[in-house]
Amino acid sequence: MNTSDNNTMIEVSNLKMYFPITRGLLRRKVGEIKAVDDIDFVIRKNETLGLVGESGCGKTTTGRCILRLYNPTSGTINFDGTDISAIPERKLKPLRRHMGAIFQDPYGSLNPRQRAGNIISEPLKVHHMATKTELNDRVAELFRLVGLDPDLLDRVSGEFSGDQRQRIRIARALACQPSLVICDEPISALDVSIQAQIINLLEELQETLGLTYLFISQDLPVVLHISHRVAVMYLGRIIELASSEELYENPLHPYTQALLSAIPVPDPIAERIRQCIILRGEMPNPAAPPPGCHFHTRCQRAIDECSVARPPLKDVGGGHYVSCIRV
Amino acid sequence: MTAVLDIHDLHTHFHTKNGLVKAVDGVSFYIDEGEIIGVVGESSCGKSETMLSVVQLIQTPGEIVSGEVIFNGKNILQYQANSPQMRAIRGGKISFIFQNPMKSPNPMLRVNRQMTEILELHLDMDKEAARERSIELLKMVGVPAAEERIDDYPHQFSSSMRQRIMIAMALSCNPKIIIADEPTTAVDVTTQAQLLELMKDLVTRLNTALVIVTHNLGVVARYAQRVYVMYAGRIVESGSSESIFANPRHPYTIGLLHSVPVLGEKRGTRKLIPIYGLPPALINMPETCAFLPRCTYKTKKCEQDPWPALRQVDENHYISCYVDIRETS
Repeated sequence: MNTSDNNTMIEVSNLKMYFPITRGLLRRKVGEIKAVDDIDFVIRKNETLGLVGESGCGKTTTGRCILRLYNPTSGTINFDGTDISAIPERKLKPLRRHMGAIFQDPYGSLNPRQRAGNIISEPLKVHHMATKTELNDRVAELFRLVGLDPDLLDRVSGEFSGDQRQRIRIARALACQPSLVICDEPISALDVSIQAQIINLLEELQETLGLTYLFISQDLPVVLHISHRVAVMYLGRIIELASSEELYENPLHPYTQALLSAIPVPDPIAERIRQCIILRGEMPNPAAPPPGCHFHTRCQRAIDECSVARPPLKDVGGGHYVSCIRV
Repeated sequence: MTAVLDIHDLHTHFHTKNGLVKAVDGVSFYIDEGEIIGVVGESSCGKSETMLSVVQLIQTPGEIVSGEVIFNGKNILQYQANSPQMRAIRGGKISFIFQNPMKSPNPMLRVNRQMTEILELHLDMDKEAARERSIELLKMVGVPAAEERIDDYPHQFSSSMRQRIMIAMALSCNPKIIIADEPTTAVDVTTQAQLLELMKDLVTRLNTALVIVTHNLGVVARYAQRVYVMYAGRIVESGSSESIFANPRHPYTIGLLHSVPVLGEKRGTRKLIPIYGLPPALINMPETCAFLPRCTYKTKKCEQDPWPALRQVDENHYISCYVDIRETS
């Protein structure tokens, strides 16, 4: 599925990220968690790729591998033509400025005592992107870009409301004019009436600045709204990947079907006729995942062969990929 | 049908350092026997405080100032918070499912101890009978190997199992009403569906009334027969769920529905319409409508006159707004 060309921003091939489980004083390795277990995908330039799945499925780990906050166990990550999966830190730093990140933790990811202006100017200083005289203008410009009043630059971040803090985070991510932004649950901590403001802002910024997004979230309606294509993850693997229209109208993997049916829509009349697929049991322990297809223990359509081998992510036409032998 | 719980003009205030917070500012609502209702609103709109006031779990600096909570024909607000009558109701006749899965159930006590305590206190069971009944309850909510697992601590269960234990505890004394405060906020969607279906099946079978307090409009649309929408300590719209979702009449409800992406919309066909501004801080609020600064439908009258009381706009549909959107648009 990976055909790299000028139009590709990120190409991930056979990416694996295993975390060791250690015991005892000597931290003897007793097992490993396959947080990301051999996945492939491509993000095209100026595209939003959505990554959905439930907690513990490896979507955040995938994002952090692309940012090289983790050193992947194996596999390659091609960022705009350069494989960054194993290059040393000093070669990585000049590339880092092309990648922005908006992290999930609404409390931990901003220092509450740091002034908003400082938070945004820091990446500019680190990457020597602005001289002292330019710095203030650039920071004010970024503030206006995300819809904040530059008069507030001297306030500490703890004084801002939740949505303003999210805007500061976006401004910081955009400070070095990145081409790719990893958005990890950027709206999950916000109130419903505020979420739309941030979603619209991200969409506008993509249009004006030509950004590429990896949009990681559990909220499938939001992901389908903002993404061009969506990858669904389950226990470290991508089990389905398609354009958002296709994924909604024609979900093929039983897990995607269950996920879509589990989301209630705000329409009681439609809800009366919608069938909700209730999955059996819980997500298996990621340290000891079931053999074969990871989903077969909860799947309604599972047959004996499902527990034998991992189903490949196969192309069913029109850029729709699914990893299920029953399809 | 008769209302099992009828609340009139409830006011709960918090006396904070920065001023008076009217967390619950004249809320009235009722629940019929065996009914499922939804209470929707964003954080700090007073939805949790309203529910805690019902069973007098408000602590200082909070205070229930006035109002009536009629349960079984009696105003239970007249009882002291720690009186035997109130304690018999709280947890016995009206039980809670709280939102924080890390704190409830209590992480320090074995599940057995927490479950049997309720039964021993409210139903006067002895230890063995209470244990038997607890195991039966755990089986009912789908906890596997309940006989052995009842002696585990809560942290030994997954978060969805803990939530099932909470449901079992809430059901243990055959309550008339269960109040579920954001019961599924911390869990994944497929687990949310499992838990909510379970709750719905159980309350329907046992004819228990259920209040679902949530910010998720979809959950309300799927499960609730009637809906109350809260904003800044008041109910701004109420009605049958068909009527509210098909024909919302209050600007806040309309705003909420426009601001969320809905499954099945084609990408790029609709830009979300956010509600601009922020919810008010609730300290020393003006007399006028609290939604006024964010409202796109406001008129002269809204800026001069006090926040209007709920008025009927349709059969079983009430709004607290001077403007009737259907008339103006």
